Amino acid sequence: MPTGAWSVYAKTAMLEYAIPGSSPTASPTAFWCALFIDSANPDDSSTNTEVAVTGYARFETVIGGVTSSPFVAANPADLDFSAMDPVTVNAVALYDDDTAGNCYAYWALDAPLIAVAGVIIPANELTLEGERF
Amino acid sequence: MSIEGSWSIHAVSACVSYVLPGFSPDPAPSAYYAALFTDDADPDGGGNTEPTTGGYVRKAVTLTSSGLLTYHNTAHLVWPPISAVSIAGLALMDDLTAGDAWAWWNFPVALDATGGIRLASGELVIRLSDTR
Repeated sequence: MPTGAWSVYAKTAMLEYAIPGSSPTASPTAFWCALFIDSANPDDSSTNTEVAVTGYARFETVIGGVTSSPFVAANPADLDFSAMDPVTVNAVALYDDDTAGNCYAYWALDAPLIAVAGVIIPANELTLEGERF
Repeated sequence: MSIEGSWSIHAVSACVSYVLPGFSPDPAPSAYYAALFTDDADPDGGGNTEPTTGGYVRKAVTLTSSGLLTYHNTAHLVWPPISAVSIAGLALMDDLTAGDAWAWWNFPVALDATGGIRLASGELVIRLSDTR
């Protein structure tokens, strides 16, 4: 899976954190992983269709540090969507809510995940970098 | 003319940590001070030699938004003559005398400080890419 992209929402929060006098949006308290059948890019929301098959629910996801310089983070544990019905997944995103909320990062998959009997995203598949912007 | 700066690794780590649940980011800066460097302003590289002569001090800087994910220096920055040194770059520090660098610029051509340094409002631009 390619390295994830930060959303403009997340970048705005990052930037405002670094600007004295700004009031950045509050830090998220948790992330949930969401699956999409087309695009997960929240900044081009015209085709963001989240999976809605039986057994699907966003999966609470921890993102941990991998390296500090450059900064790289990833999911330390598998993300288990094995209970959902068959569906084709083309993108993955991290939200700050289990059903709605704001998207912080997203991954457009190089090849679709064909979920015949659910999907498990292995540990360290969702990577995020602290690019030098 | 404006010059686009770069964020330091310190800034990137702090800002990314801010948006990751469970991380403890370094404290946000309460103010920025512009520091001049005679060699290289990149805090993650070599150089970082600040002038020590001619009454040189860092100058307080405020930043103003100038579009999506983009900020620039609000007001002009002026230093009086600083003996016979050339200035290769500038960094935004979170302290008047020490602290961490959050962003930095190396000038395309070194500035002669013998007649003082003047940077116009909007000359220092810092942004985040909106493409990834």
